[in-house]
Amino acid sequence: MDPLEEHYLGVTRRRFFGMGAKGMCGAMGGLALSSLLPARLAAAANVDGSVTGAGHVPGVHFRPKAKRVIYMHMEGAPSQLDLFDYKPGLRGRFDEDLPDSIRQGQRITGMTSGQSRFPVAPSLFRFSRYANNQDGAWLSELMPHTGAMAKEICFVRSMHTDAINHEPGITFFQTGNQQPGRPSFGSWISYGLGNANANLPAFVVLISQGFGNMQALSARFWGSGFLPGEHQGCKLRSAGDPVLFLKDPPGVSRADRRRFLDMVVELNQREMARSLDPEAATRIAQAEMAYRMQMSVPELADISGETEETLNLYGPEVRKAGTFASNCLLARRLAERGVRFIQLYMRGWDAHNNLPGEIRLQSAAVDQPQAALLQDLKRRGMLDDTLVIWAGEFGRTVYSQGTLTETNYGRDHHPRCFTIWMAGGGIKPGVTVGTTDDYSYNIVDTPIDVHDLHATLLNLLGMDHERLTFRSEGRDFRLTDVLGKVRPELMA
Amino acid sequence: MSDAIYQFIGRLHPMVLHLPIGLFAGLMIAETWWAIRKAPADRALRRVLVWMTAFAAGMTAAAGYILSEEPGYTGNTVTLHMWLGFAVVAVLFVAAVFASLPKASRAYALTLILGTAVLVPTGHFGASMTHGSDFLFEPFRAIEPPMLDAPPVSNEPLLEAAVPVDGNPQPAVVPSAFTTEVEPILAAYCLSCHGPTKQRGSLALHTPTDIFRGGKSGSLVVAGKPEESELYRRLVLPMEDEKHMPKAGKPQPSTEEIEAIRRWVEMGAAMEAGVKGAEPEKPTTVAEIPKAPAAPAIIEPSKEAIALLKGRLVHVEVIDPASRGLWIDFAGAAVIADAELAKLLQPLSSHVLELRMAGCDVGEATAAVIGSMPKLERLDLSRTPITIEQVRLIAAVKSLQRLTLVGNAGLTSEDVEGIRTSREPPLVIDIGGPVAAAEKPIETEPPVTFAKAGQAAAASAKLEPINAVCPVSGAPVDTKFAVLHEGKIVAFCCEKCAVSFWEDPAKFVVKAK
Repeated sequence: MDPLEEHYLGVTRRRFFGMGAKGMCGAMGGLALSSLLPARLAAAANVDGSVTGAGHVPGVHFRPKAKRVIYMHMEGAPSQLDLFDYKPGLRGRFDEDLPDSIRQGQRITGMTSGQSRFPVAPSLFRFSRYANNQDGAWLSELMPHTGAMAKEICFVRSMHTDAINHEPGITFFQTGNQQPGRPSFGSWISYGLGNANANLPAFVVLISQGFGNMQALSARFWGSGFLPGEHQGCKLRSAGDPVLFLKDPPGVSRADRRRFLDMVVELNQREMARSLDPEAATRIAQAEMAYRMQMSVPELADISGETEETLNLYGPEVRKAGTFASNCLLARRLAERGVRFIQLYMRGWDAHNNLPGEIRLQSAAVDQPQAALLQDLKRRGMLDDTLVIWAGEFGRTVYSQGTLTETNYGRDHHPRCFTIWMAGGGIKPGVTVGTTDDYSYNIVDTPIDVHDLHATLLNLLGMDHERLTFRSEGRDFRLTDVLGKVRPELMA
Repeated sequence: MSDAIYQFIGRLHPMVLHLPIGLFAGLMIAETWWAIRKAPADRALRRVLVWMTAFAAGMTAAAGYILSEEPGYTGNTVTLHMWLGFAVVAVLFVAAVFASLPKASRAYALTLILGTAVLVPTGHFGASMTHGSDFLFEPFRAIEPPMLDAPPVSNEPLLEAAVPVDGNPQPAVVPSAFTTEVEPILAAYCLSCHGPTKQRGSLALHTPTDIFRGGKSGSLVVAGKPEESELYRRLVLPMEDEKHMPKAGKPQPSTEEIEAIRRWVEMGAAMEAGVKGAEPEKPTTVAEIPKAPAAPAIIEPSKEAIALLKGRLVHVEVIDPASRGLWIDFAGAAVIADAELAKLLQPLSSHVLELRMAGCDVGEATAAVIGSMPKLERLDLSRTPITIEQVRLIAAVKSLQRLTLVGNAGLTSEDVEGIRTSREPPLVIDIGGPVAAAEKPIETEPPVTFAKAGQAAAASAKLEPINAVCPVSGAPVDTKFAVLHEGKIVAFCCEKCAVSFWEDPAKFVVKAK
């Protein structure tokens, strides 16, 4: 028998059938099983940190507009009515009941089903109109810095989603499906485009704690699902060492580390040949990456080289590790160093009660840094090939959850319409896309769902969302599942 | 090897199936003969024939199942054919059993009839897969339209058209890219299922009208946009995708052929042959044979040069698959000296579209190489020791659109300004200087006040009092003392009257009106 054939079939078939290789039944059974063997049999780790397996070669499908993504996820769902969706007419409807013609029989969530009334709670924040490339963008007094950057930003007011709660909502936004198990957006980008800097992971996650009601963040939001393990997000910690156990212990020199690593890599390669386990290739790639990160991560986190002017741009919190401001600065530094997907999480937007107080604290923490990030990218010539996305997982209701007073209210989850904004990377700058009705409850025109958003973003990154697939469990999966249309309204 | 044997067995199916068909036909002829002649059936012969037919059918079905595992055998027809085939085998074995039993001749006859009934559709679906479902009756249908609308062009007419015998210069007919490149590809890989004989998915590709009409999935070609044209997209979908064309298992076009189709769509998907020169021309000589519009040949960038760069942890990526344009980023690389940088970049200079060399040791040699890059569009030379003369040299590259010079100690903003305006269109230069002060908003709404629906009118009410005489005392009003009552401003002469009114408005309301 051909030795290569032996190699591909031998181990699995023998283990299952316990027969000799030459038996006809063994051959037929083995052939049937060969389609079950993973595609990464010939996987090999390359010197630049990439892993080539049988099949997929990373690369764009056509010329991209954006090369990297900075995605700021506002976990908890920020209230669009108090930030972006200006509805002055609601001020005259304070404490009115939400009309049935607007609600159209939508199910009330478990949290608010105990309420006897659903009083309309207009926003108590003053909105201003900032110049953009249309007739101005309205933003509330909570985000003046962001408003000043309105000429670069595309506000999408007509986003909608299917999920009603945080876990499925964030999972849907990140993986294209409400049930867990699929790779995240960043993993797809890492798989589809590959790494641009061999010393850093392609997908980095930075989390900042919030001031309002916080929900859990699961590690699978940046997991790689069924994609090979090296595409998962690498979370940098906010305090202490950005990556645990990266530093060599005292007494171990870098040369020692290299020799140790060479031995580990060889053992893993033998394991790969013996058991055909594709994750052995991942271990090799990650070990090599960790070795390089020993030098690159301290250099990344050291902001002493930044000018005073730059640090002031991001606000007073920028020097405190773990704040949103510090993470924005790190995001810019990561973008400069070629990291493909930088995911920021800002927790604490889930204001079911005490919304005005909580949202003031939250907005104060994010407004200046996010605008500074846009400005910093722009003046370094990086904004036009970096996609910046700011999004929650859904919106908030126009009716108040809990007691409504003139100075306090809460809002429940609202998936039917919400606002996100994007900038850079081929997005049409300075426009507002989509309109909601006067209660910010239903979408009036240009509804855009999460699959469409993913398809459009992948298109800007140079990939056809129907071509970027991965075969798992007998099916070709893709980020957009079986849906998604590219939306030219969002593209420049 | 055994993989190949396995496949071979499966591929015997179209051959082996003739055996049970033949045996079954023989069996039916024998049965019919015995029935007509009313002669006692030769039971031994019957048993032999029916058991052989059953076993032969079994082998055929097994081979057929193995064949169905090859890629490309999906769809309703295959499923129907397979299950009906299994049914044929089952019925034949039952018939064989009945033939061997002493008193089962009626059951046997019925089973044979059932077997025929199942065999006919099995055969029909099987033949549909290989010959198309209309194969038998196709000759009875109308004649197909002619193959092409464009005038027939051979390889030689350029010469004839360009230098006609009668000396009258005629416009030379230049065969279009469609005729020379795309049409042969379609003929080789597509027309067997999407042509005059078969139109899978209601799609035909043998006439230009049909190509643009498209089929069940809509139109095929969006001129100028290969990425939106189904004709191209289906060629580049992954092989496992059901929509990939040609179907897996059939011959696949080569990369060059797919590229030819992509180019043709990108250049406008023109069908007609172009006509060179509307005005009368001098007869061209043999040396000036007009060529077909030359599609730009794709030159691959040097693999060795890319490997050398990648070995130094430089990121090299094909960012424009159509032209193999490269993006080269030195962000992850170690420090490399100027001379070596130049040597590494030189072999790829005709392919570089975007180049990021922030923090690199860019000097004379590298600047010269960059200055000779014909397609360079974006360049980042931040924090490099580059001088203003070198920047001027680089700015002369016509294709350059954007230059980033953040943190370059050796340059002043006046120098940079000079370069920015030195060429048309002006070069976009980012120097990362301090940002301008934030813009103030155009307008801000008035302070927020809430009102219930009915009360909204109060906000827009006039501030003039509705009365001139105090309703409590009858004296002239002093507008300083006014009360908002039911959306109207009521004025009073003094504070005391205002308080009285406030406590019991009903008493004075009539007077207020």
